[in-house]
Amino acid sequence: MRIIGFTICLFVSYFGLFSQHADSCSPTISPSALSQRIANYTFEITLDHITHSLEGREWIEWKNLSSDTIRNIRLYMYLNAFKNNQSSYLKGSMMNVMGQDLSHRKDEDWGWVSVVEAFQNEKEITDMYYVQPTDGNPLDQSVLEIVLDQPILPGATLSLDMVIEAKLPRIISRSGFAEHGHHHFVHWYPKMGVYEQDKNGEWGWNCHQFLRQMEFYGDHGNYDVTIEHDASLTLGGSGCFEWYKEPVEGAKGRVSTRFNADDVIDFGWVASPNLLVHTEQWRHVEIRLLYPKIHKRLVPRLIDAALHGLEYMDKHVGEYPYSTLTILDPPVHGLRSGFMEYPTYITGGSFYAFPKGLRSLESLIIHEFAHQYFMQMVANNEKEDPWLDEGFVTFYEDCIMEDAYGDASLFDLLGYRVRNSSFTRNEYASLPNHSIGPIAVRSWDVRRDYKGIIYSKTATVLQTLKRYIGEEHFDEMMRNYFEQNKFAHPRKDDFVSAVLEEFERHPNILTPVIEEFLTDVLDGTKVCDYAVTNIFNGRTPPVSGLIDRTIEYKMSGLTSPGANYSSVRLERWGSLIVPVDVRINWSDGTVSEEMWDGKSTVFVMEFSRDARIVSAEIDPERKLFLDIDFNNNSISLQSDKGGIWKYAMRSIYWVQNAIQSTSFLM
Amino acid sequence: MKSIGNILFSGFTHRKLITTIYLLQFVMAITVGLQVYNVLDASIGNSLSINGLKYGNAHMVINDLLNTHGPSLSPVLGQARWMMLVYLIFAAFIHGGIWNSLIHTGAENAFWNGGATYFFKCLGCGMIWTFLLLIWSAVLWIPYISRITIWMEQWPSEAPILWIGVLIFFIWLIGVLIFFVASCYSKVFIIRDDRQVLKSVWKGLKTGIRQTFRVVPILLIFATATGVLYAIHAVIDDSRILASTIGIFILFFIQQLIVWIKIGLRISTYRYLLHRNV
Repeated sequence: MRIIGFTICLFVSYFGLFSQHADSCSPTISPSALSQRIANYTFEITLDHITHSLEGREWIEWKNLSSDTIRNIRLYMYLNAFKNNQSSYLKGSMMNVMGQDLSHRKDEDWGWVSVVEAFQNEKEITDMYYVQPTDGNPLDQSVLEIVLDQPILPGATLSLDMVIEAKLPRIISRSGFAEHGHHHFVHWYPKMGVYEQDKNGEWGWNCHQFLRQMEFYGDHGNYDVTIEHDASLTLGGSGCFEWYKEPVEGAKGRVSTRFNADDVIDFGWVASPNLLVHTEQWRHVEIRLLYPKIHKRLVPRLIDAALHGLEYMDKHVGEYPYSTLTILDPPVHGLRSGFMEYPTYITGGSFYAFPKGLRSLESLIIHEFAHQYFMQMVANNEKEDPWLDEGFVTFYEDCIMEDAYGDASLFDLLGYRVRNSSFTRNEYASLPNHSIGPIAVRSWDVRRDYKGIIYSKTATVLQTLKRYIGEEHFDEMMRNYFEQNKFAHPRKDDFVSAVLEEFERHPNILTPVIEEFLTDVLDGTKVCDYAVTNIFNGRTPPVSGLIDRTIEYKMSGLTSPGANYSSVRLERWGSLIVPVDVRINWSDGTVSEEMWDGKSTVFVMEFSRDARIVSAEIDPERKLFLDIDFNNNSISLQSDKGGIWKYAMRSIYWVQNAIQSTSFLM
Repeated sequence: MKSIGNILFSGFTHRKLITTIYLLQFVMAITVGLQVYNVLDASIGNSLSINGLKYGNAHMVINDLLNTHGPSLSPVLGQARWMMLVYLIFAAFIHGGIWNSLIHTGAENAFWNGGATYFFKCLGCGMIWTFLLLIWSAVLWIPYISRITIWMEQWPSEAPILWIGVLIFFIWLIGVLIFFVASCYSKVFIIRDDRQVLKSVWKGLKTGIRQTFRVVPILLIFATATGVLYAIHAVIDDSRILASTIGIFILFFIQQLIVWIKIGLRISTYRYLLHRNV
């Protein structure tokens, strides 16, 4: 009987256990820790979706890896950016975020987060206050400083137990609630700042206030998040489910969901009714797409984009070590929660009846996915070095899109075709002032044209490097950079070292000036523009008079005066110096390839040949993607004007159509 | 089918009229075309980049051109804008000529005489209808456009917003059709019955409301035929075959043929409306 009873107990407990953990998973495919797991969080919270509020406990375990004894800690309290219109974030946004006027907002539409109680080793901490280390705005409450009861010695671990409360704002930007029960939780909890050495080697808290144009920065760690919520809500977020919607005893209609996310820098999640779930498996990764029913037709496109992203980054950069990727395609009323990246969780933005040839929704998914590599695994300081993630991700977005969708990767609509890289380059090339500022700059120091500089110019620099060194070596360079800096906080110098190493290993015409080039494009505001300004065919001129010292001559087998003589005049119109290839086409059908170091402002190439120069072109393979005007890179003496005629004729045709159409009532 | 074909092509019996109108439009459009040619030639005419212009749209070439030579293109756009305005006024003359030719078939110099005689009346009539169309468009579209962002935040789905837009478009289109038919009959009343502008407009409106729904199928056929012409052009324009010098001039010939046919279709529409015994 005892054996039977024991067997029944075993059976029941096994299946009890099994049902409890039916959905459990490992957040990563690695059996060991991928990161140093400096900041680890456990949450047990309750969501009241009617009042849009959270309450519960948060436990932080934080490792002091510095040589300092730490007496104060700093926590990000970023939800407080939406507490009132005096926060630094909203003041910096001029009361208008993503087209939303914030000057007439109801009290219940503001949001906040607070630490109700905090305990260190079961002893209550009472000394905590808001600090404003970035801009000194006394009304800003986005950083909380806590004076610890017991200092944390080097190598020791802080255990902090907090009772927290949070109320979501009506969504201003990403975090908040929207109509129809849509709730998006990002940067919603008190989160540890980063204790690190600054450029001078001094240890201290890197915990900036939340300003407009600023993103995030945190240490890697594990998140164990248990949320009690209404059963009607569909949940998704970073990491995987330990369990999903398990009934809560004694609370009708209430369920509990537990997430686990390991080796990540943050934890974001969504709770929304009426979202459908589509899952797809890619190798070890479960892609979980949450979408409104009306977007069903877009599911294959969104999944396809994610698959392309996973394939490409795995092949060209490194392994995606997580077991999940959650994508939120928000409903229209929750669109403000879209367009963003969180660890293993990204949000897109699409519309019903989105034309197939308009691939901005695929491009967005790929962009946000690429952030899993640059900002999540390679966790640069997004506030102080935004180019290290946004620029890199824009570059990879272009690469992936073109690899997946070809020449017309971004637009292929009504005969209008645009490649991603061409679009990105133009975002930079079309800036009214290309020297508005350097790339390597703190996010809040960018005055204007943030996207054009931080995203597009950086991506164009990377595209230039790739074209000079070749795809194979560029991939090797980025793989090395990724491997050396994943689960760490690289700075500019780490990237520069990776580039220098690779260019030294595989020399090309850019190698001799690569250091100067990187300094100029990252820290400087120099502009690149090379031009061919003249071609001459005739007889050798007699050399007489004074020769301008700023003009260099490259003599190529010149003979006596009166012999055949051809020359090409090359000019550098920008201040950025880059060696360039020059291709010359001759009347006898031959092609000569020359090289110019690009240093002088004017450079005349001279030749004495029986044939005449037909055309000359600087950088014919468009390696120097940073050049702001490719049209002036060449001159042809026998140019085929067919293209110009075609456009002139098109304009005649469309003017005829326009005057016919607009005059139908006259 | 045969009668639809007859209606569709009835205007093409007025080949001289079509050609006259075509030439007038061409003369106006070519001034812009030549300007475009000159600006492109002066700015990138010697560059090898222009080879890219022969194949579909050359995004990088055009963008670099706009970034660097944008200011030199603005006079062309300015000219095109003014030319459109001038043509709107000139169109009153053309329509006076067309309707006079259709009403007084066989009369000598009907087009030129009609244009000159009824210019001011047609201009007044056209201005009234254009003004009414602007009001009609504003009444329908401004409330919709101003509500879109609010609806996007409040409604559970964007589909109704889109479909309301589609519905408004069709309602707007019905209004446009009524205005079109009414404006045609207004001119008929001015030229055939020698009525005053306001009386013609009023009678035209009444006739338009009465007639439009009866002529909608035929108008849709005309619209479809025009749409087919645009589609044919889009396919041909996008073709890499017509990228050689000869190919580009063949394309130009096709473009001009399309413009000529469209004028013919417009005259067929007018003829059809005229012969409905109103």
